[in-house]
This record gives sequence, C-alpha cells and structure tokens, in this order.
Amino acid sequence: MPATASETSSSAVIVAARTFDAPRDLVWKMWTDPEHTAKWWGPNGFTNTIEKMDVRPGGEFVLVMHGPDGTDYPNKFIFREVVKPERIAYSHVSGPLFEATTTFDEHDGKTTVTVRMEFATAELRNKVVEQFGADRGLEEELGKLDAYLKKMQRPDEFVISRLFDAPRDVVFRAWAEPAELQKWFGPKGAEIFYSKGEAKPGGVYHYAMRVRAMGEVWGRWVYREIVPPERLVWVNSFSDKDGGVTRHPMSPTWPAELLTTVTFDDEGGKTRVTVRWVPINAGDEERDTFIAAKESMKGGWTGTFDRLDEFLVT
Amino acid sequence: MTTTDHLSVTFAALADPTRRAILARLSKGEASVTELAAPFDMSLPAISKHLKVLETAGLITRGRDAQWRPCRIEAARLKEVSDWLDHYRRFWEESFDRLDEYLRELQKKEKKNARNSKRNK
Repeated sequence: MPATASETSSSAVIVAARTFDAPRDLVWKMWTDPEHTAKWWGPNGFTNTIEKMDVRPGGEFVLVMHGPDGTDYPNKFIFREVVKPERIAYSHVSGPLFEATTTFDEHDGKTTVTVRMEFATAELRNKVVEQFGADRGLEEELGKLDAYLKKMQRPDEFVISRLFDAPRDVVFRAWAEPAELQKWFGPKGAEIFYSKGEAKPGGVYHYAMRVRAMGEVWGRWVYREIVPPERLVWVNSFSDKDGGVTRHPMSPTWPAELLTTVTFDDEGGKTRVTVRWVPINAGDEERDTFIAAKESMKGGWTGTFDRLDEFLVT
Repeated sequence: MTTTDHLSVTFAALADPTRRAILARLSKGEASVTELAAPFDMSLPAISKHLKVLETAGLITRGRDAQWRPCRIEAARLKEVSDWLDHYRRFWEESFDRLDEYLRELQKKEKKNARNSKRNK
C-alpha cells in the first residue's frame, strides 16, 4: 500500500511499504523476536540494545538506539494489538508520540510490510520529518531488514552469535592472538597442545587439539582480513601435522575449506561476537553436503527427533 | 557400508529441496506416492525416483503391500545428520562458554591491577 500524495504532504501520517522475498512467518519473526529485531531496527548506521520486548497487548518494548555518532536514544513502545502473523499496532510513548501499525501481507511466497505512523498533528509529523528525517529513516530501516533477511536466508551460511560482557578490543585480542586463543578455543575439556601462527593477512595459524571424543585434531586457519577490533576473516580447514589441508575424517564430501568471518560489534559496552561459516572453493557436492546438514537442523522433521528422544528416554 | 560412506549418501539424498519437502511431509505421518506427489508439479515417476534415493539412503522405508506402499520416515538416520551440524554448534557454544569465563578472569585481573597501581601512587 504505497503512500498517497495527500498522506505524505499535509497529513499527520508517515507511511512506508516494502516487499520482501521471504515467507510471512519469517518476516513476522524478524519483527517480534528481539534477537532479530535488534539487528536491523532503525535508520542506517544505528545499532540497538533491546532491554525488553514483550510482544502482547499491553506489553512493553524498551530499546536503546545507538546513533552513528555514539548518541544513545532511549525508546519505549507499548504494544496495542498483536495479530500473528498479520498485524501489530504499537504506541511510541517516550516521545515524539505516535501510533504505529505494521501489517504483513503474503502473496506468492513474498511478504509486503506496510508501516504506518500516525502523529497527533500534521505539525508534529512535519517537525519529526524535518528534524530527524523520520520518513527517510523508515525507508532505510526497511532496507536494513531486507539486507538482514537476505543474509538470514543464505542456505550455505552457518551463523552463531553471543554477547560478551567485555569491551570490544579485549574480546578481539582474545581471538587474534594465538597465545590467547590457546586458553579458550575448543569445546569443553579440549586442550590445545600446539598453537603457532600470526594473525596477519596471508598468515597461517596452525593448531592441534586434544578432544575427548575425537582424539587429536589438527587444524589450520589462513588469515584473509584482520580489522581490529571489528572483524577477522580466515579460511578454516582440517590439516595434518605439517599444515597440509586434509578432508574431514568422517565425511569425504564435507567442504575442505570454510570461510570463517568473525565480527565484533559493540552493544553498549558489551561485545557481540558473530561467527559465520560459508564453504569456499567448494564443488557442488561439498556445497550440497553443507546445505543438507544445515537444512536438517531446521527441517520440518525436527519434531521427529523430539519424538525419537522421548521414545529413547521411556 | 562404513559410517563415512553412509553419511555421504545421506547428505547427497538430503541435498535436494524436493526430497527435503517430502521428508517434512512424512514427519507428520506415513503417506502414499500419490499423496506425496500432490503438492509438487511433478510426474509420479519423477517422485518415485526421489523416493528411491531417500530409500537407498535409509531415510525412508516403504510398506510391502504391492498396491499401497506407504512411505515412512526413518528417524535414526536423520538424527545422525542433524547431530552433525549440532556437533559444530556445540563446538562454538562451548568455545563461547570458555571465552566468557576467560574474559571474566582477564577483567578481574585488570581491575585488581588498576586498584593496586592507584594505591601505589
């Protein structure tokens, strides 16, 4: 539903709409699950810390938006109406006051999201547009959601993320220095008994780990990008003692090389670490193997496992 | 077949979106070939080919009745595959746990050092 001319010029309303190449349930999730919402909410350059998101009528949505210049903008909304997965209505109660309604329309597997913000008066609306660029901000926000959805839907990407209560440069150092890595990298009970290398573009980190279930495992990282304190990129593979690339011991079709991107984002003094894995230099078979493993995690048949687990327990 | 072989066969079988959709349908209960073919714009022989691949991989079994050969999902084989990536997820989760602990210790030490150097001034 595009904005009509009268709505954009002289009314108290701001409207923006965008169609996303994603099913409605997924788009709904992006709007109602704080873990996702924090990733794209707000205009370009903004990040968010969501303190509370209670998605039900009367529930509060409290977040701090961090501007590109470091300014924090505390915001509070109250949800008025929650009709999953079609519509949510919410009031911005921390000023400037407005009532917003977001609708989700699905058609041919795509979803059109329409956001309508209504202010008390046309004057207030115009002020918010002039001072904060709220109309452009809303367009940018939907653009960020689009980019985030595209990233989410990449079938060959494995993503995992965690928030750490430590400043970004400290966390970055723990990843970038082999001597530090040795102290924590690997699953519970693992011991890195060989750790050599240097984090520089083209540099190689070669390590060996003793893991209870698997015995000795050798691996190697070839660094591609080191951007302190924001980003580390390396090519990950199994290796032998001499540092040569080897196949996964259990599956010959598992990708030999996974591009690993670790990003470090500041969230109000804490640090979000996100690890991404994508197969590179992979043939169809390797890529398919990776996707199949990934899809099996979220396949519609996961209920089967729950049932199986129940069965095994009883 | 060794574990290595059958994992690769299972991965190959799962690599196709139609076959994954068939498994999703079967997770709700057994079904005939005709029922499975209904949501797809595909001929029965094409669907049968997919079923054959799934059966060879041990992901489904089929009834004996010559007329009505219902397909059934085999959870054990699927679980192996699901465990596969879950293993990596655990690898990272546990690494994150250890990193969390390590960072905490590190900051405790830093604070202590800062306090001591203040006292020395």
